[in-house]
Amino acid sequence: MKCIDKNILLDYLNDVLSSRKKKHIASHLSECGHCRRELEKWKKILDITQEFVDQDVKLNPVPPHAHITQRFSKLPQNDESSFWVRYWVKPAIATASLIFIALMVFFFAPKTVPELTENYYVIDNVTYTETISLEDRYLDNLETLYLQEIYENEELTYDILYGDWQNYEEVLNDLDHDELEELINKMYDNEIT
Amino acid sequence: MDSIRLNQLIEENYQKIFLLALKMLKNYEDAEDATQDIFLKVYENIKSFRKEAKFTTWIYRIALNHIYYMNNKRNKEISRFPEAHEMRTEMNANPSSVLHEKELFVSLENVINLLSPRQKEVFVMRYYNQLPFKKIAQILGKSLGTVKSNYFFAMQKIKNDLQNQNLLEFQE
Repeated sequence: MKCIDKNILLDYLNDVLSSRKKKHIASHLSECGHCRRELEKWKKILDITQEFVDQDVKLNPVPPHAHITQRFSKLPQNDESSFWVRYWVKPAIATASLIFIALMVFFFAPKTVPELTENYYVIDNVTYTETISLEDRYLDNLETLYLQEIYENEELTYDILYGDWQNYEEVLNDLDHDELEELINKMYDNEIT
Repeated sequence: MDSIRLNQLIEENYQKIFLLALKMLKNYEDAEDATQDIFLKVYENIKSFRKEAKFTTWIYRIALNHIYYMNNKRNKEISRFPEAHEMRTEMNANPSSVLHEKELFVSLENVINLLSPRQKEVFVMRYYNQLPFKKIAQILGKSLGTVKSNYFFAMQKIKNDLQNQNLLEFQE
């Protein structure tokens, strides 16, 4: 098995590893004499360092500092306002201002009309496809466009004015219930297209 | 933060910051002055500080900034007047190097003084200030990995130095 890195050994001694990793290392140490000796060395270094630091701290007493720390005790409290002001007046003012801001936003925000799909009309003219929104001025334009097309196309104009569809309408009006049903059945059987 | 809790925090941290300054500046008097200045800065800025959870992190950042500032200032003075500095260091010799009786400890003191500033700050915060690695990383604004590797190299230097001087007896 591969030996453990020195920095991992140090982490192990400093107890900063996850329990899973600790178990893994402990099981390796039980098998590997080299790593055990290395761990012992590091343990000794850490113990000596700690011993040195403890003594060093004792040998370097903290200089007198009461004149500095006393200043902090004279600091005014951050929030000296009374109970009522702190717990009732301040929250009430905060809530009122929030409501005021919300109302301002509601009344003065720029109005936008939600863009729904129903508000659009698609012109599919074989040669081009265009989507226009259904505002009144666009509808006027569209009506003009169609009327112009009908006016310019003689055949279409003739068909609309004198076409067969007018006869069909008359025929359909005269049909009774049974005849109408028969006609619908014929249509579904594709006898009439 | 109420004044009792604040006093407690200041008292708790005064010694730690002093030790940090002492080890970084390697001079008792300089460390004493630096710690006073650091806590005066803390006092001046305490009103702008609100979150108690990060209070120690905040103090340590102020401390390290000030310590590095003082170190730079001192280095400039040394390069200008090297003789005056020599006289001063003789007068204010670090008491601990004189006081440590064991040869091993004198040697340790020397090797710690020779660590790079980045390694030393991590070492001091770990051993003298007893801070966990995560907190050290937070104070220095570095990743946990960087802090741990600084610590590892510092310990490696100490180990090598003590081994080279045959000051350690390992049972082989």
